[in-house]
Amino acid sequence: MEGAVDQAVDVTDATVVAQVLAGDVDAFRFLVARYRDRMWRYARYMLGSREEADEAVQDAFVRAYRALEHCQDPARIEPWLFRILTNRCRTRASRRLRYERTFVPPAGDTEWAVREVAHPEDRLAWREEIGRALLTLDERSREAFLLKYLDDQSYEEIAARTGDGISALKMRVRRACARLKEILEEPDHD
Amino acid sequence: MTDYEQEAWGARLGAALREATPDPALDDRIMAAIRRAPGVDLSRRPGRVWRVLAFAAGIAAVFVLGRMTARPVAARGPDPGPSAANQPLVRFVVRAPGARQVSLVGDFNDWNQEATPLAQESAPGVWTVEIPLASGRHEYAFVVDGSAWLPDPAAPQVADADFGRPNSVILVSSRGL
Repeated sequence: MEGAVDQAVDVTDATVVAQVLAGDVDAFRFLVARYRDRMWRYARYMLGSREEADEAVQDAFVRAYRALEHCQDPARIEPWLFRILTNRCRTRASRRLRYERTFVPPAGDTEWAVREVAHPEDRLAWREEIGRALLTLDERSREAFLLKYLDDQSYEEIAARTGDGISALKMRVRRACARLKEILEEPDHD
Repeated sequence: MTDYEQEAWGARLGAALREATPDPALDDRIMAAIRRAPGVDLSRRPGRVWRVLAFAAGIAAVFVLGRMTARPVAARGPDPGPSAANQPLVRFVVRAPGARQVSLVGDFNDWNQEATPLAQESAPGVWTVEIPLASGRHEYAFVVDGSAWLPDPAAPQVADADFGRPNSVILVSSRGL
C-alpha cells in the first residue's frame, strides 16, 4: 500500500474519500501521505516541539477519518483537514498555557544572530532559533505568521480557515514579522 | 519595516522552516491510530434504539463544561503529575439498558474503543468505568455494542467545530476541584 501511495499521485482526494467511505481504510494513507508534511510543519512551529506536532497531526487525521462523511467537499479536502489541525493546535496551545506554561529561553541566554546558513547543521540551528523566536509571539500572531509564510496562504484563505478578519490578520503578521526581526537580528552579545 | 521588507523577511523565515521534516514513521503511527479508532460508520448519529440516558454520579474534582448526563466524578490526589498514579481518578457512568458492551473513547485513549470498556456493576444497564485523567480539557463519547457513537445527548455544543457532531467535554483541574 505504501508503494501505491507514493506512486498514485494522480488519484484525486474525492476518489480517496469515496474509497475510504466504501470501507477501504488503507486508502486513507493517500491523504496522510499527501498532506502530512505541510500539516506537521505547521504544528511543529505552532506548538514548539516535534513530539507535540506528531500528536496534533495524528489527532487531526484520526478526527478527520472519523468525520469523513461530514466533509462537505471531498474534492477540496485540504482546507477541511487544515481547519481541523488549526483547531487541534489551538486546543493544545491553550491547554499548555493553562497548565504548563510555554518554555521560552530568557533574553540573553541564547545568542540570536542572523548569519549565512549554508551548512546543514547551521540551517538546523537557524530553524531552531526561528522556532524559539516564534514561541515568544502570542498564539494568534504565531498562527497568522505561520499560515502566511510557512504555508503560503493568502489572507483570504487564512481568514476562511481561522474565522478572523483580514485586516486583523495583516496587522498580526506585520507585528509578528517586526518582532521576529527584532529578536533574530539582534546583534551578537559582546 | 516596509511591505517589501516584510515579504522578504517572512519568505526567508518560511523557507527555512519548510526544511523541517517529520519522522518517516509518522504515517504508520497515524494509520495505526486510525485502525484503532471506531470506523466511519460509527460517526453516524445513533438511532432511537440506543437512546442512552446517563445520570449524575456526583462531582468533586472535575470541572464539567455544560450540562452533561454523563458526569465525571471525583477524583483524588493532589496535583496530578505526568504519571497515571498521580492523576485524578474520574468515574464515567452511563445508563444503557440492553447494551451488550459499552466503551469509553476520547482524546485520552486515541479514540480506541477497545481501550476503556465499561462494566455493569451497581445495577443492570448501568455501566461504569474509572480512569485516571491528566488535568486539562478532554473530549469523550461512549460507543455502545461497537456500533453506536454516543456523545452526551443532553450536552450543549461544547466540542470544537471540526465536524457537525459534538463530543462531551470535561475539564479536569490540577487541584482536583
